[in-house]
Amino acid sequence: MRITILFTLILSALPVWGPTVAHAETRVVASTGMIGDLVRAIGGEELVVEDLMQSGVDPHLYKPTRTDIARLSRADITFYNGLYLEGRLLSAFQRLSQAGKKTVAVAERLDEKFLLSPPEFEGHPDPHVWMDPQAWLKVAEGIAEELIAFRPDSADAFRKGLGELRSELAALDAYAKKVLGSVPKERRVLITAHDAFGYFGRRFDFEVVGIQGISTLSEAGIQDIERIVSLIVDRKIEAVFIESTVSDRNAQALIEGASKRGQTVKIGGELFSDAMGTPGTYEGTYLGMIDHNVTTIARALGGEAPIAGYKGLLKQEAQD
Amino acid sequence: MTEATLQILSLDMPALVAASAAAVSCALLGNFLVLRKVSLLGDAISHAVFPGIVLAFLLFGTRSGVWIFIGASCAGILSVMMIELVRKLGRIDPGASMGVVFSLFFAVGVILMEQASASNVDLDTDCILHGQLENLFWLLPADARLTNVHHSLHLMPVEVLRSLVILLLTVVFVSALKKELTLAAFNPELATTLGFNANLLHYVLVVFVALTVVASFEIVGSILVIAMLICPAATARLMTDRLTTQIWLSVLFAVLSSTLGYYSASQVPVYFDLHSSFNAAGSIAVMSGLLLMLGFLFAPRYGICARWFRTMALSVSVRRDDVLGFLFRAEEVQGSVGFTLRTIASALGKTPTTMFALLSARFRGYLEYADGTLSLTARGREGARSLVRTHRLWETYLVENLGLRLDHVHSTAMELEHYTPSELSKRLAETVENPSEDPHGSPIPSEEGE
Amino acid sequence: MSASIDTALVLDIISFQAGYNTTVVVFGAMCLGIASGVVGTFALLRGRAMVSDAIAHSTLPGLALAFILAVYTGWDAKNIFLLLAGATCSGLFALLCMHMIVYYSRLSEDVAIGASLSVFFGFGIVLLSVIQNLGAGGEGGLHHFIYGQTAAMRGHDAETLAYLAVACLILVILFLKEFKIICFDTEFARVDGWPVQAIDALMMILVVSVTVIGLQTVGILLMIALLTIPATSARFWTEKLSVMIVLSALFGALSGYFGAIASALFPRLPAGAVIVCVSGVFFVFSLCFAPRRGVLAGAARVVQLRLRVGVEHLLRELYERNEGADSAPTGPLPLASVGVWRALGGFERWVITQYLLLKKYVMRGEDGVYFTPRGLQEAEFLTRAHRLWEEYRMQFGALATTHVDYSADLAEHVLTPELVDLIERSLKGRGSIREGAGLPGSVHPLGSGAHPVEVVQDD
Repeated sequence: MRITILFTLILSALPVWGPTVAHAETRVVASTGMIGDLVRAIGGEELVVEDLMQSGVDPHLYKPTRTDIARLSRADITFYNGLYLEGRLLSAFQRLSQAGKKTVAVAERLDEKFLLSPPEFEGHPDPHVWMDPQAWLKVAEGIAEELIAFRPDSADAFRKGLGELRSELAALDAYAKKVLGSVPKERRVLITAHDAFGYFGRRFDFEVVGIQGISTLSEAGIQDIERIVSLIVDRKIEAVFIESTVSDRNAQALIEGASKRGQTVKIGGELFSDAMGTPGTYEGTYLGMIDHNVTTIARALGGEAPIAGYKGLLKQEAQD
Repeated sequence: MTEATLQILSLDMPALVAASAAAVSCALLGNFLVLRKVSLLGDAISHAVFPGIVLAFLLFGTRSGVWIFIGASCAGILSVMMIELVRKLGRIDPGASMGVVFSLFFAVGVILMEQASASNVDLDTDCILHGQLENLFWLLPADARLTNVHHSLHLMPVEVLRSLVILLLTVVFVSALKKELTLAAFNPELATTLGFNANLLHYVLVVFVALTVVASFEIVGSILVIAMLICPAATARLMTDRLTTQIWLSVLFAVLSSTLGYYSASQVPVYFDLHSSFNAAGSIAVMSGLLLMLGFLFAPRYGICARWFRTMALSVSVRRDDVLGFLFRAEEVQGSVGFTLRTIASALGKTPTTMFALLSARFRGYLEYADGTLSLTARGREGARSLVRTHRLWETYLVENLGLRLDHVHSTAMELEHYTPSELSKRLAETVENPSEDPHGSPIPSEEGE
Repeated sequence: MSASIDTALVLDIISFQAGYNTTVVVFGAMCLGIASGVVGTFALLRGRAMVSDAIAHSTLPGLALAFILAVYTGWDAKNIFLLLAGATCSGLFALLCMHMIVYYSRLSEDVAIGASLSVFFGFGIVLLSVIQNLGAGGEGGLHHFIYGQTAAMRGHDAETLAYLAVACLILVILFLKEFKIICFDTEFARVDGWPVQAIDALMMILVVSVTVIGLQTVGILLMIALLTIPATSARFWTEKLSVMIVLSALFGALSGYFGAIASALFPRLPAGAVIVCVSGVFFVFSLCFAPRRGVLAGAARVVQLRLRVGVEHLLRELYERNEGADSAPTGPLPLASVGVWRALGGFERWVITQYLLLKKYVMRGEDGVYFTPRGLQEAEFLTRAHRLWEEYRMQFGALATTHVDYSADLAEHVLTPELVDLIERSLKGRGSIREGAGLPGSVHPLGSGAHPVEVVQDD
């Protein structure tokens, strides 16, 4: 019973946390920056949009804090990716929806045919849907649908936002198709540190080779490394890529192995896989992130792409 | 109900209850793990559950729910039994046994995952087994609030209830088996002779720990469990020698760590002007570490300060004796004299110890201070006489009865004189037949003052 | 997967002729095996097998602080040297804490290790929760950022590991005597005036160095395993420190070698995990088959002892049955009436009979088994030993008649002929038994009811 008394004491000492706001507008919380960008594009004027995770944060590893939970509990709608991307937040989302809050797993709304599952494990799809602008557009449409259902009075604004987003994503997709298409067919091999580019490869007809799996506990075998080195040498691939969230050791090992066999390979650049770039920069937005990835990959593998990307906004030093 | 109260009720209370319950369960069991030197079991289990999770995923194709828990529990139980078995069969250190078994388990898990090509499914233990304290919130539907009690209770995180059940089971387990567990930990042979199987009891303990730990992982995450198995029990062990007291203290420290840790997770960031709270479980672990540090420094008997103080007091009392002896010998040679502080300090060492010794002698009325010089009082002279007597008796004894060389005995007698009670001094005098001079030729003062 | 193993590939790999990456990893893993095998020996003997685990976990707060520092000062936050420096510092600090707890409190090694591990890791998690909301970006996987992957080892990593192995060997050879005295008798070393704390610290700093260097080349799992498993395996084979170090290094190197080879031969076999499993095989082998400390050796000793005790009790009882008769027993042995024999199961009877036949103590006759002269002699010796011991205990231990039989039951099996003679002489010297007599009489003749064994076996 002394425990109860202690609780009571401590609890009464806890101060009020977070401001109390008049709930005039609709509060939306998006789990990742990628989703937040979509929501803002669709209903930026009408909604108060908050991103749970800062744009450079890896959603696999994100641990919620009390502040995040307070934010989530005040939100009217919560959009999250789903498919176990936000592994440590799942039970929070479930609990929110039990309490009658609107929570939407945007990637899980997608049609089965848009989702890639490892052949052995149907039903456990790859969550990195945003790597394919076309699939991401479908996600955006889903978000718009939910928003319209929630706020029918602003439906027109949402539709207008979605229309603009659609053309923007279509332009991005077209640009990506064009510059990636300029890479010679036999060199369209994307070798990255971990397997996050499945959707990207499917969309742009690239063979994607990840050195290690998605799981942080996954580990490569020596034969797997040798196999990738042989692939690099046989296909005369000029570049491998590192990722902002994974150490570049694996890539360096490949480069060294290939160079001993007479094939010069370089680091093609750092790609954004699970997280976007530094907040506040162009690379810190969804468009910038994909633009950066596409441009970097195309230029490194012998395709033709403008050095500053399709909007001319990319940082120049990232290109060498 | 105000917004603030509501927030505390919905965000903090469930997490705090679950954290405290889990912490207390772990601390209770931790007492016995610390005794048996297997306090790292929590960490070992946290790694060893991995193959169980992979297998459960491969067999049942799910990444959540009861199968994962069952898989993890099985792997956890199997691993602790292997740890016990290897330790016993190989007669090796429990730490080594743990290191061997858990790294093998983990390696098997990784190989299983890669061989099944499951590495493209995110099978991180942290995501699919370990719970997050922050996720234990009790959100009431905006329309219902507390009016519909049944519905509201239904929304209470079930983990809170589960943690309380675990706590209850642990309390029952510990209070039922406390005597046996204690005996088996301290003296397994005696336990066996008394008619219960200490070996079996060890297995029962570790299996129970494995179950509790895996179940708590699912509620509050691994770091809190690992820390709570060790730190509160260790802190309590610094405080007391009695196991029952230790157990109660460990419960107290567990509750203190959880509440203070949880509280500082949301409050400390404010002082650093950060916009987001800290991770609560990590903060609780740190708090338990701080408590351990406080215990390490300030525990009444075993703390650094207490020990330092005891050593200090001892050396001051030895130095005080030396001061008295020094003055007494000087009086023997020169008659009643006073010494300046400087002279005494340069004779006995210019250290704080000497200063404290002088102060303490003054307070006890052994010294008087007049005209800038220190001299013995009557009382001081009395004490000094018996000290010098003991010293010279020892010298005589060492030379005559033990046959040591004359120039070797002074320093030994110097040490012995401080630890010789008057009874021993008497017997010593009888043994050396009450001489009037020591081997150096100095007179041995009589027992009574002149 | 074993459908087609290319023999040529196997040969290439074994002889370091296969692909560059394979060669590097095989070589590097061997070197790391040697280094950690050597260093792990000391960690094990100091009761700190889990210290590498604790250090690996304790690197997290340093890593996170280095990252935060970099963010605030505008340096490159992914600078591996900065991160490593942070990690090393906090690893060392954790080690210092362990050291303090071990030396200045009553808590044991495992608590010191566990407390440092959990508190440092907890602090690391707190700092990570700060970092993920700093808005700096790029924190993802900070935790895993410094962990290497065994299969992705590079040439210069392997080189570093080779130097590390050589450095460890040299240091250990230089300080072998100091390390030995600390490992086996800390108290003695302290009394004898050795700088125990300093030597201990040197030892543990060696462990930290190997751990931190190993962490970034092979990752946490393999590092912990290689520091623990080979040393523990080696412990089974020897009591000598130098032999143990060599064996441990050998186990480590062989695990690295075979594990890396297996990973190179088959697809999807993660190198680090396979190496751990190979070292596990060595461990299980040592656990089972090591002479003296192994499980089988222990079991064999127990079985052997039981057999001997059974046989000897049987022989003695058979002899005592026949006592009083003038001549040696000639007829078949009255096994059925002997309590010891009746208490045995069928298999045990068979085994004991075979043993007796093998030792030529008895021989088969027409209607049973008979004593051979040799068997008779042995039985007489055993009886003599038993009775002398009883007598001895009564005379010199001042024990009552009823209290000596059990002890004699135990002692008779370990008394050598020389010892029996000695006891006899000293008893004769005391006049307890007569000079020149044959076998001393039993202190509690058969049928007197004072024979505990008899009582137990008759019910």
